[in-house]
Amino acid sequence: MPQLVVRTRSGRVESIHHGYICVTDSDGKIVYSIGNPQARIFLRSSGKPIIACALVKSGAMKKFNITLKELAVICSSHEGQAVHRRLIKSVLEKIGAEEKDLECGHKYPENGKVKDALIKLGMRPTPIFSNCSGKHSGIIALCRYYGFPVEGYTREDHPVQHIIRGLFAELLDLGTEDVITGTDGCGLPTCNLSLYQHSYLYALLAHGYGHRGSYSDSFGIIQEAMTAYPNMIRGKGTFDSDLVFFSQGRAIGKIGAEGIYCLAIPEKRLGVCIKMLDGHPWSGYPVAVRILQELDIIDDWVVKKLEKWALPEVKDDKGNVVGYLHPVFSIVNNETGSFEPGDTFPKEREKI
Amino acid sequence: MKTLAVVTRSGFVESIHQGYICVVDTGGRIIYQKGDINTKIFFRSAAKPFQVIPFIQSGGAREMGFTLKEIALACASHTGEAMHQETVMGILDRLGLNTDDLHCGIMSPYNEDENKRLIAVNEKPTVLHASCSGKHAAMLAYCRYKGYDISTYEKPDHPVQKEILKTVSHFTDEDEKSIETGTDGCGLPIFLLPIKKIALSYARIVQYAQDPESHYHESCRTVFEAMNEHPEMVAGTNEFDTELMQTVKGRLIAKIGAESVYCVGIRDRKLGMCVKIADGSERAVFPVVMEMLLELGVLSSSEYEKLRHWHKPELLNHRREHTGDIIPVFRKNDDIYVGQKIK
Repeated sequence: MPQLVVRTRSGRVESIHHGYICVTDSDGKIVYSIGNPQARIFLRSSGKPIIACALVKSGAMKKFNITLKELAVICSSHEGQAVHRRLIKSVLEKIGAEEKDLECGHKYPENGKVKDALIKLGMRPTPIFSNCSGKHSGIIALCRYYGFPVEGYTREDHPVQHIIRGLFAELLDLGTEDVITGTDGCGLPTCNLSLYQHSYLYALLAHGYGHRGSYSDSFGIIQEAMTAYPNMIRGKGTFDSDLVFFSQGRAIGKIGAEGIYCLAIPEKRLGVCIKMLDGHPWSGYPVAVRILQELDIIDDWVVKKLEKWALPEVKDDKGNVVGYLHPVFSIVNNETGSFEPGDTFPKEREKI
Repeated sequence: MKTLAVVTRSGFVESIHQGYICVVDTGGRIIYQKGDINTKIFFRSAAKPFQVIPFIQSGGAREMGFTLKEIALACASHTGEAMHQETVMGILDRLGLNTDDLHCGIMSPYNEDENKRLIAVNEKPTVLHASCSGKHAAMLAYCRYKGYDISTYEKPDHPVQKEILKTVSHFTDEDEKSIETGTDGCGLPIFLLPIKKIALSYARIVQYAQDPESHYHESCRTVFEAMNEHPEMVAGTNEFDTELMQTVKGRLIAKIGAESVYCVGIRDRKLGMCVKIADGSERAVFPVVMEMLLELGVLSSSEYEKLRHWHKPELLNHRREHTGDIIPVFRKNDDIYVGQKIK
């Protein structure tokens, strides 16, 4: 398995993260890859901007007057802050639905302050706090648009899920019955695709309006929404939001659970899918930054702004830095690390 | 490194955890291995039973009135519950010291209820919540007993740390001068050692505990008894170390370390085990240790029943639906891959 990141302590390798990467253009050609691009993964939350295509393409977005900002939250794994919840409530109102229609379950919000506030109030998080509630509101909007019952919209055999599987099938030139799904953390079906297929979907998002495919306008609008409202796709001060903000939309990043990170790079019409094989939640960030550096998408100024994700620090409990999470691969040169735990990590490489 | 465990979702392998396993006897003979067991890892908190040995060995623990409960806490990565805080505070009170003298840093308690309680009442976590505060308190007591400076006890050149290094050197059969150290999460020096030597140290601690002729007999017996009499001190409520030692009472000692190091000393067969998950993920280490305990025939069927939720933990989503499992796979095959259909 290819080594992408090592975690150091006192100049030694302590732990190792392996992963696969696939970089694909909007013609469906693999431009770079590490590991097995045909390995199948569940898209998890990185599937959200793709699922949102169904909403835009159907005309539901227009019919219900869903704004670009609301669309950004529909594509998000949001942090559960008041602004996110307000936008989702607004979507629900526009489509004549209520918070109780959300079937995403109960999950503490990612934002520490919001989580602490709930604990202080002795409150169990309601479904709107779930990072997936935007996506759920978008799917309920689709149900409303097509006149499907809202109840049970997360079930695989619900007609709205058939439409979503159909969307993936059309985009990837598959039969609808060939789109395999599993159950996501929020209860919705999540597609099982190869890294190659998934990176191609992000290439379509990157190409946006310019692509010849029938979903180009939908991807164009989604790209616009995610670029215009960086803090809506996750939350202020998070990697996804800061990446879009500081790169000024030259890279759009989306996290997925179990070590997935996806990128759309509009100017190169490239899509990137990263899967950290151990499912580690944040070692994908230094990988994403390193890829964008190698492809000349972000300059040193942007990297500096993203420093805490480009080279995450390992600290002791007194706040002293004792190590880092270092990317140890090159996507352009197809190189990966060959460290073992205990190896000395070269000091000169301790920079971004 | 070898694939040790997989995480599944809806019948597919979603993620994979690789790592190393080594089981040795007291002579260093390899009983079981996965991966290159000469690989060096930081001992992390699995070193704690050895970090308290100089204190006991010197007679200091007895002299300073240390109870088995307090020694168990010195070996602990505790969860910061009230019982742990009180026990650390009890040691400090007896020494006439206060929390500022503990140099382990502050961390939010691992125990979720205590963490939520702190947030709810607007209290900040203190040094007493830090999982290593018991170990640090014991080091302060040792300084007092020996008349060492208490303000620099965490420095590598402090006599306490030098004595600990000597002890670790003895138990691991590694030349003191060749043992490199790094900085642990709590600021103390921590040892970089071959996995098989870490396993050896656990074989020896359970052997010496049973051998009255051994130079370290009293110290090892005390540590073994302390961890088994007070497993609730070693970790905490609903924690694996605690439940394992409560269930298999008196037959082993078990200790987790950060970045997914796990050590077990098995009394009757005098075996030591060390597991390291290469990516540092804690979720995979318990299933792997459980699988190894089954492989070694350590658990009776009733003990297994009590612990089985650690063996192949069910993963639930936010709607409490069962979406997958963590499954140790190293006994069957290790050429499993992400995306593979399973079951």
